[in-house]
Amino acid sequence: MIEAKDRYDKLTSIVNNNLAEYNINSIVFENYDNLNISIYNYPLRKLLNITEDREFLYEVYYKILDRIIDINTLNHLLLKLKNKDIKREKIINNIFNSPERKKKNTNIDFDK
Amino acid sequence: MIIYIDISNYVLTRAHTGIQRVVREFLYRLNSNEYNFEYRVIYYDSKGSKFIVISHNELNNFLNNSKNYIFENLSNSFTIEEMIEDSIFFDMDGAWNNGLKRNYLYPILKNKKIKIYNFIYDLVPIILPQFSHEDTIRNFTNYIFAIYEYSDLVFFDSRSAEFDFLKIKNKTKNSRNISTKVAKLGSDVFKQNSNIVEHKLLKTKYILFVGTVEPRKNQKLLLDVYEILANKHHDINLIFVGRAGWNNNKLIDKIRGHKLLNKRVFWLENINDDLLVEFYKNAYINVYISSYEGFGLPIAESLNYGNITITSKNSSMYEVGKNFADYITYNSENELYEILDLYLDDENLYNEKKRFIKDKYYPYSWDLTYNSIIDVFKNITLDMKINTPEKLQFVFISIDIDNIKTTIKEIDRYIDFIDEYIIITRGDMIEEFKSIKSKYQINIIDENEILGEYQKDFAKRDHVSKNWLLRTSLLNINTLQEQFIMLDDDNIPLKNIDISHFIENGKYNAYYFYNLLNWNSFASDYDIGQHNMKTILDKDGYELLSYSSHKPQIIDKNIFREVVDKYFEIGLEMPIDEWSMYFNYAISKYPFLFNKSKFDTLNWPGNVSDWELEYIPEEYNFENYYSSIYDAIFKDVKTLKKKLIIKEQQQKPYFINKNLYKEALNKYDTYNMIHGILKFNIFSKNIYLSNIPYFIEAKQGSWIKLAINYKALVSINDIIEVGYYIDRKKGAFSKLNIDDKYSENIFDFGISCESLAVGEYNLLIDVIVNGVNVYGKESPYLVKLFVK
Repeated sequence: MIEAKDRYDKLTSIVNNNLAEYNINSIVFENYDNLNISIYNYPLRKLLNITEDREFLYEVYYKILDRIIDINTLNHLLLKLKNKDIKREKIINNIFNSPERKKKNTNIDFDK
Repeated sequence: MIIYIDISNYVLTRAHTGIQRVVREFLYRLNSNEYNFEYRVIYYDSKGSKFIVISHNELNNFLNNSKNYIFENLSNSFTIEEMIEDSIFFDMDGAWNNGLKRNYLYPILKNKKIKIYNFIYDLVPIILPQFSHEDTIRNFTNYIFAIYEYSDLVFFDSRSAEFDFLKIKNKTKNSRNISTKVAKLGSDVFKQNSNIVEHKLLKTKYILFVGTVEPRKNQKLLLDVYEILANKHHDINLIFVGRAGWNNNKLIDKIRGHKLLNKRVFWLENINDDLLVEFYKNAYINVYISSYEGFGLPIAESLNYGNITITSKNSSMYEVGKNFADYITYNSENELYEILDLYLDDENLYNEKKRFIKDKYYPYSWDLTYNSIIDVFKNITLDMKINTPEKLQFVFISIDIDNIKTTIKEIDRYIDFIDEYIIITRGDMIEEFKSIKSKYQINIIDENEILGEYQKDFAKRDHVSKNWLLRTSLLNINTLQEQFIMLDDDNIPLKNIDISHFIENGKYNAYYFYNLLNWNSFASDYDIGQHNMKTILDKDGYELLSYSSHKPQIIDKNIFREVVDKYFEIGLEMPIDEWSMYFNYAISKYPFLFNKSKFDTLNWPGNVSDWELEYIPEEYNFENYYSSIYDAIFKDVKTLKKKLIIKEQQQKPYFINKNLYKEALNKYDTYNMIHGILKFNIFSKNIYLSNIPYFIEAKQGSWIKLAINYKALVSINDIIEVGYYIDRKKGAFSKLNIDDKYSENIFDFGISCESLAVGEYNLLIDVIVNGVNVYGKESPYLVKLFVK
């Protein structure tokens, strides 16, 4: 049997291929390596260690707000990050302090 | 052992339809009974990082008032780490939406040796993601991944959902064995409050469509058809009931801006259950033509109200509607228009069909659903363990000395875990059977010794009931072991077979070859047995796969005894198939003891044209021996490799046909190239055929089998044949199964291309009633056949 990560990739590819048949954009699924970490106690470092800004933003929304980032916010924040108008820590703090996060009660472990 | 049932999503959403309805119906009953196991209905409190246990009383209060109930007792709680080892965690709610992600939770549970059970209702977000919100797609995909990785047992509401789940699992190259079981959903009539409900539309004649207005439900097709229909039938209205769905502005705008809106087309977005019941009760016809369903509860509910129900034939729809619903097989306008038009025109047919539904339709109840799940919990707590013995008895019933000699010779050659052969045969053949040679012990038993009181007049019984009696009488063999291999004298191994072929990792392997629901032939006692079994098993809520795979299979004696205790008398009254009775019962009751696998039998069917393979074997380990095949295609063929090459050549045109059919499907639908209803009337007998395309493409040298619906308003003794003329010469005609003055069924309409040259042919469809053609060669119903 192939590795679990490959199985996950195959599954997400099936979904995205099905979407492609209807000319619908692919979904950026979350990073396999972090699937087994609770969003009620997610290590800050895991988010900050992500290399790509785009993946970082997807993961931040998945892990803190438990949802997909909408495309306008994504583009807006990507631009800000690119222009160094905002730091990643700030984005995390903003989202962490949002009413939506509080309602969903997710948590970040800022010490890890 | 404790069974944890997490209803966090129900507690959060407070919804009362869809999945939450299933959860509610199950919990009502769970909470009203006592068991040999403990259970905890729980929800996750993310603030306290613990599960809250809902007390017995609070659960009742919540179920009775789920929308507004506020839980009072929050003190009975535990953390994930405090969960009891060797328990079961059952996810039957919409767990993919929970913040407590299953890819996080399940590995922790597995480390605590807690078994994970799931209930999956459909795979829409994976198979048809275009119909789902992206958050649902992401959450659901991750949830399914966790199930593939960690689940021990998955319940499904249909074989279709189970099949989709396993197909995708296979595509992800996941070879973990997960036990699966189909538990059908109830469709009991809603309990109405005593309030009198009134609505002005209830007194009108209307076509009803209940369901969220969304692209997947395909209300658009009905609206398009209604626009034509309304011109001819001035008294029929169209009523949509359901809220506006997501991502559907085009259809919503179309309905809201329709010129007949609130005149003849109505959309009721928010009606209560009591009023919905009244709309069902008073509907003239109900339509539900969804593109995909996990189950299709509206079909069951509609039939339960005795309504004529027109639905599509994809995913699970046929499992729910069976022969009681009318199907738009190809989703074409023609089909939908003509079936509606037929019922609106022909009052006699309309009334007979309503009577047929009222008399013969059997709905599944929520009690059945509940028992189907709870049986598994009851049985798993019995702590049944399967030991893998070193050797097994091989038990035959045979009166064919040549066959059994050949088979035993090959088993001796390829199988090394034989404890002994037991052969049941007729008294007069025992001496002859003693001449059989084997390196293992052979115990030959006179059938009269095990038949007991049933030996009297045994010889006068028909073949199928003889078989049933003999198989069930195996339990009377004193030396029969707890597990044994049951086989026929023509089940020949083709290669080395290990005991793991039958028992593996504490589970039995069960080999199926067909879905009983799709067995459309009525030609032989065997066929009739398949249909009888389908009804018997279905009424009891059991699975419906066919296991008479013509190969040896392992039997658990205790479970077999349960089957015999339950069905012995039925097997004497009508043909049924002991293989499928045993396995469907056993797997439904003890799914955790079984792996279901595709069959691996060469020469089943004997001839590739006999019936179409529903499941194609991935390998061949056994052969179903037919002497006729060795007289013909396998003459002088010695090696398996050569046999497989010959078989592959024979099957090739049939696989090409499958692809041609798949390609044609798109054209049938897009260009509306389907006959609506074919009508045949003679001597006051009426026969209606539906689901026939305008054209068929087939490979030279093959047979095409088209699944066609017939409705026959005839006399019970009438002989009705359906077939075709090809370029004015008589082609194949098949006899319909007529069992009442109104008979309806699906049958395989066979078209032979075996001796046709490549080219284009005109098929004229006709019906023969008691030897008299309705149209003969002048039939108006033309099907173009393209032989390639």
